[in-house]
Amino acid sequence: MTTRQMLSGLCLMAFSLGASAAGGAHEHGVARLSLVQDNTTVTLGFDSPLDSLVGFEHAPRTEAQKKALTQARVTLEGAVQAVDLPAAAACTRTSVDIELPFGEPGDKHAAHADDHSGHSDAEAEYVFDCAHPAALTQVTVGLFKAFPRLKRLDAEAATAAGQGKVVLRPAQATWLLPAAR
Amino acid sequence: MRLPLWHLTVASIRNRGLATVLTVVAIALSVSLLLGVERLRNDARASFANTLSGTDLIVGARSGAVQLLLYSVFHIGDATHDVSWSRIDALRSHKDVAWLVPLSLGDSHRGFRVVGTTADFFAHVQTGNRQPLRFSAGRAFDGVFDAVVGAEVAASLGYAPGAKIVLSHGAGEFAAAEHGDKPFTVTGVLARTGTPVDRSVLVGLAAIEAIHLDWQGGSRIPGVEIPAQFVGKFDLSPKRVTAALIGLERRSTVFRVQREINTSDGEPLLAILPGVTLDELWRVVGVVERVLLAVSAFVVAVGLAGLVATLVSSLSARRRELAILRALGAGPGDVFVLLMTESVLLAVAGCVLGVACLWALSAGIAPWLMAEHGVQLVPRFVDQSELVWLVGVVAAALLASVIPAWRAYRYSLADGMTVRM
Repeated sequence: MTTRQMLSGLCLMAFSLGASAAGGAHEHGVARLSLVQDNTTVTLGFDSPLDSLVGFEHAPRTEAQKKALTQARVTLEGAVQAVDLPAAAACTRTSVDIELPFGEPGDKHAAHADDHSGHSDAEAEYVFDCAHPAALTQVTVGLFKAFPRLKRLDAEAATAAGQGKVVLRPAQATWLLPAAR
Repeated sequence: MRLPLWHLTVASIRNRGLATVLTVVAIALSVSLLLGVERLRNDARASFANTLSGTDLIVGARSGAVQLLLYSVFHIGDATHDVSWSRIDALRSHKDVAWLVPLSLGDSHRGFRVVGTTADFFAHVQTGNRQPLRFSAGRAFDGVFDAVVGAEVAASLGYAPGAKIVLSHGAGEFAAAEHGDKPFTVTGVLARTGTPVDRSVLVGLAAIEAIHLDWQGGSRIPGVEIPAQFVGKFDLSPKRVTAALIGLERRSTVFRVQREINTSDGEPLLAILPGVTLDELWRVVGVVERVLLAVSAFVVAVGLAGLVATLVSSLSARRRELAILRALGAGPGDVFVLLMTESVLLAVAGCVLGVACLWALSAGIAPWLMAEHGVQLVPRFVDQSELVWLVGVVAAALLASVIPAWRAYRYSLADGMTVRM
């Protein structure tokens, strides 16, 4: 069997893995993290099923569920708790955008629940301005601590050093970016 | 009086020449296998990672991400579907897209893949660490029947600018599928890159259309023959391509554009980040790699077991020798150290021979690997990670040799000079 045939065989095995990259597959306990670095601008995106964050995907019915939703928003807004960039990169947060379904009345991002599938997703986007982007070697991800229901993060990065993907788990929550590997 | 132990070690190894040599060879082979697997793994990864740089997205028909990467960049496997030119054209004028290089695969030339593309290929495709493609001779294709060949194609088939070549339909197994009526002229030869580009024949998209004018469904239409000089009268604008490489204006839009393409309506398309998909591939291949590594680690264990077996079986023949050593004043500890030194010396000799073996082997197969599989095996004696493995092998040998050393120690305490053999 030549290397070529072996690789073609392996590529068949990889179908299941590749499928998730194609679009927003909704899988409870699994979320996506993305990082793009363009000069000094670093954009971090987080995209998760709502269930992984608060444990339900319907409009909050009880006080506890309303509180969980508010708590999730507060946690996501505190970027340092969610994603921590190395101090050497000297990053300052320039904007944060949290999109949670079932927000308070009047919330401009409120309507994000997908009624057809019965699923809803939460999204967060953090934009940083980093004085020393070359020092951006890793991201310490605090999302597992904040959201215990989260079991896996597919983390994809595109930086000046290249592109890469790693799978993060609660026991292994340090994301090494392409430059550091 | 202290005995010169190392002298005794050398003498006693020499005394059992053949068995010792065979043991060392077994260890050497197992060490070359272990390091070879590790080296091939690292070098293959480096070669794959160096194949494409500066490309933000690859777009093809919606299938598997890894499959798209393998057929578009590495020329492994085939596309299940292609993409209509109108979609590619629309993507080219997308506001975030800086450049787009279409790829049309499916023909070959004497075993080398033919890639239909545009002259942008030479301007935008980069390998290694942002290294642009360079011409070692000639220039890019211009006319319909012009072709640019990669360094490996030129070297193995002896092509230089001006050479006439004939392309074949498909993988080129059947002579009947040759586009013999429309020969191409080589206009340029690319400098060696160590990537699949070296094994490619590059032609314009119009050329791909032209050679298939009188073809339908993979074979020549009977009775229809359009001579090369008349193809200009036909519409040679591309209808379908296999995939496209895309560079973006700003990297920050890469995930947004990817999502836009992947969720677009109409003809289903798939956009991938090549580096991300390569990591997905390595995650799958990683399982196989670990199995290979485990197997070669076991082979090393077998080699070391052979070493222990040789030493243990030699012990009963050496009981008198050990007793004499004791009588001459060697302590039981000295006998223990003697045996340990012997086996570690053999293990180190095995490692050294193994590394030499691997060096010779990799120097021997490197050109073939490069030509056949595009994997650049860097010839070297040992690097840091391999040194760790070697230290591990010697440490394991040290641990394993405690068995014969301990037995010798026991014998030397219990046996007298009157031992019966």
